[in-house]
Amino acid sequence: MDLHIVEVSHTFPGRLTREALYKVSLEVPSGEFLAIIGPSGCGKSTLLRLIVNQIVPSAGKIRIDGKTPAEVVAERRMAWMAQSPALLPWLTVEGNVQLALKFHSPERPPSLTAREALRLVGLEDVAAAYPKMLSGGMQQRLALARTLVMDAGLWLMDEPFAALDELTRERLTHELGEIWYQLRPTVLWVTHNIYEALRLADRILVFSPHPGRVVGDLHVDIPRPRQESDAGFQFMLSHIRQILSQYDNQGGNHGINN
Amino acid sequence: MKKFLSLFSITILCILTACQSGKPIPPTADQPNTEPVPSLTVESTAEPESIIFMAGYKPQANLPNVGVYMAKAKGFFAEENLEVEVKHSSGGGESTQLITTGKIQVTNMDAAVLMKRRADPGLPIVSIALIGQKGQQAFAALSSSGMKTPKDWEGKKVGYKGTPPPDLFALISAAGADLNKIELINVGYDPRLLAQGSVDVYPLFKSNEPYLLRQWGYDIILWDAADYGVPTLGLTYVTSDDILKNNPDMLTRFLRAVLRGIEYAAENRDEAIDIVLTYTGPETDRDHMRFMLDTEILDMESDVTRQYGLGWQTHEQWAALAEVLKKYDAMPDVDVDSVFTTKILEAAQK
Amino acid sequence: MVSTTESSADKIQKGSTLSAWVLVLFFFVLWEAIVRLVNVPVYILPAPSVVFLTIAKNISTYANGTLLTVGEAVLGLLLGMIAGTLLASLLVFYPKLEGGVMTLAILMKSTPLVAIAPLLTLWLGFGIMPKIIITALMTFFPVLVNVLVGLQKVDPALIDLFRSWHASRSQIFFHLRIPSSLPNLFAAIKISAPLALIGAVVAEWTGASGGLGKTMWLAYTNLNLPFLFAAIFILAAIGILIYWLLIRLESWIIFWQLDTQNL
Repeated sequence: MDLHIVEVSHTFPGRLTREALYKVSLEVPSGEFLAIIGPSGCGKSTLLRLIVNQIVPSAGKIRIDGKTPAEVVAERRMAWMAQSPALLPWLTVEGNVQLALKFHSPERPPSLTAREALRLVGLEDVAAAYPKMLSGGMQQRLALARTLVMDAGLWLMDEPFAALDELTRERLTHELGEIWYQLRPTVLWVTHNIYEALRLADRILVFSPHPGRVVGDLHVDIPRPRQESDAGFQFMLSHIRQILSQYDNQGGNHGINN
Repeated sequence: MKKFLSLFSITILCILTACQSGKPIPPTADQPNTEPVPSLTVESTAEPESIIFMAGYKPQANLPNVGVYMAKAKGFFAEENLEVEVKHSSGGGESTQLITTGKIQVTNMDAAVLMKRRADPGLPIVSIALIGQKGQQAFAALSSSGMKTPKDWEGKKVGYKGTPPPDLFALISAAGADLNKIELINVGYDPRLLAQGSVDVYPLFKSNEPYLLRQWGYDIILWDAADYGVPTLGLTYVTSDDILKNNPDMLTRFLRAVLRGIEYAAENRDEAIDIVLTYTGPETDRDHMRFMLDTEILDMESDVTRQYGLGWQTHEQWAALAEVLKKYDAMPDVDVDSVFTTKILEAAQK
Repeated sequence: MVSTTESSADKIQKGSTLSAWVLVLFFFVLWEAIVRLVNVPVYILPAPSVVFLTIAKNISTYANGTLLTVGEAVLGLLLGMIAGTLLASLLVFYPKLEGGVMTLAILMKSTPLVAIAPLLTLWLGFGIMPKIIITALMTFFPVLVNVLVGLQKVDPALIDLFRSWHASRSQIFFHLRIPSSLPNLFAAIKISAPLALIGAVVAEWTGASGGLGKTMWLAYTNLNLPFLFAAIFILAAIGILIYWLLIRLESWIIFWQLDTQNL
């Protein structure tokens, strides 16, 4: 599914109006893995929420495969995954995935059963367990299995691994990359982690602090699987850091890792 | 899912069990355990008429109640082709409300209360028989206090329940005591107050609290307003104007049966108490009930009943009570003859 | 990944149950001692031994009374629960009604029992229906308030998830709000259950053919304090039993919450 974003701005209403995004334009071809990176509060999450129709933009146009976000949500062809795995604690691991299946688009039969999805993320052994028994990493894997089962053409992921420890994050980043490579949905991946972005994405967008504007749009041509030790990798890493530091007036990280 | 199913079935089981136990027939129910034993053959073969008698208060051995209990147990009702369901009120105005709305047919009330309600707010209720020819209440003090007459109440604490009864003022006035020197205190039902000395004079029902106080080892002295010439009347059988007009025959049969019941009880007191105890629970003392019965029987006779029969009531009796109530209880004027009738008594005696 | 602290939690639970029993026993012994030493008359305060003896001598009376009263309480509680839950659900779908419904509910809750009970007897007769209605009136308010909160305050991340699935309002209600509100429902039941018991007892005071409340009332008017206290002891025991049952039920149904409450 391709994404067509034209001059989207958004200001949050209220006593303290907050301009979150300023004239963001973007074309994302089908099957591209796009990472969005930027300091805290730069509007990256807001952009995702606009696409998944949680909020309506103050100005601008968003089209997904030519349709509005509302229409695409109604057709259930977008999948959303956030930092909190949002699992239903009263259902088993398998039950959570089966619930998602209930909401699968009626137009096509699901390509995966709940079990198969669990197998893809390595959770088939704990299918009968309850979410409270799982570690943070396993819970995010379950959220991912749930996403897979929707057969969505567009994945919107808002820092899904941010709450996990580094080792788990590395492992999951690797596994996610593998799965994506097989299925090739269009992915918008918001992150604070440049390293993670470089491991996974075809293209990286850099946002300025609020109001968020696109200040960097880089294609990552490094062949997969990507190694941190690779020269190209290191080069892009420092390039992105440089862009970000331009907006870093007060010193410190603004919450960027690596 | 499985959990919800099992939870659901447990809930259904609970409801069924509760419904079973909800059928109100435990031993302390209004229906006694003994079956009625008809002693004579029933004259009419028609369907017995069903009515409800509600006692004005809990099950106990006061005479109107006893009349009904006996009539039911000894088959006097059955002989009159009546089927009487016995209920008990918890006090308050419940039985009064129900008789005026026609939900019950006969109840019993204190004569003074009846007349006051007739006067204000004008409830359409009427006495068909006066069982207690003297009032139920008296005032008590511990013998150890040394008090002899109400004049000795001066400087003491005298209790009353709810509002000061007209008897109280009439008694004080008749005994020549000075009301201003007496401290009146609103007490609840609690004879322990007298035992513990919180109050010097306590208002009680002659057939009730004295038993408790004596049981606890206290000797008491009683002052009855009637002994000082104050007119008082006791319990009556009461029905509504409607029923009196539309079904006097039923009332006649009812009254005939309960008067027989009272007479029978007076002759067979032990048996009467046995029957009373089937209506009360095991929390009630047998001797207490016997005391109540004996005391009430003392007041069922008077010059009026000796002349006209058990339960009779005259205009003079009611008018005298009306005067006391108007003078001491601020009762508005009332047509005394509308408060009672001898019509049913006459018919029952035939 | 299964928690291994359960066995120590069990130990804590057993320990607190034991200490509860010891405390109760000590309380009774103290009471008995005071009554005997000070020679308190039985009509002021009976000794526990007398009370227990009274229970033993009148087992069937108390058993029947308990069954009836508990039956009324349970039915009233169920009715109150259903009414409260339905009302709360209604308010989730029609939030504009919240002001009006809440006002009515508070009005009903504030009206004293003494005023309502005779009216109910007039309408519904002498049976157990008025007792059940009175009990339901006392129990529905906590259920309404708590379940409403539980239905409304769902984890926003879960709501976002369901919205991304384009779930309808009733789908969100049944799959998400209802299970999510179960802990609140149980909190309400734990408040309402003792209220239901009290409600049934008080309703019996205003006129009943049987039950523990009626026994208490009759005993009091006869100043038969041992009988009265016997009923009170039994009521207290029932109350504790019901609460204990509820806690077990709760941890069975809402297994996904760590229960830190023990009896």
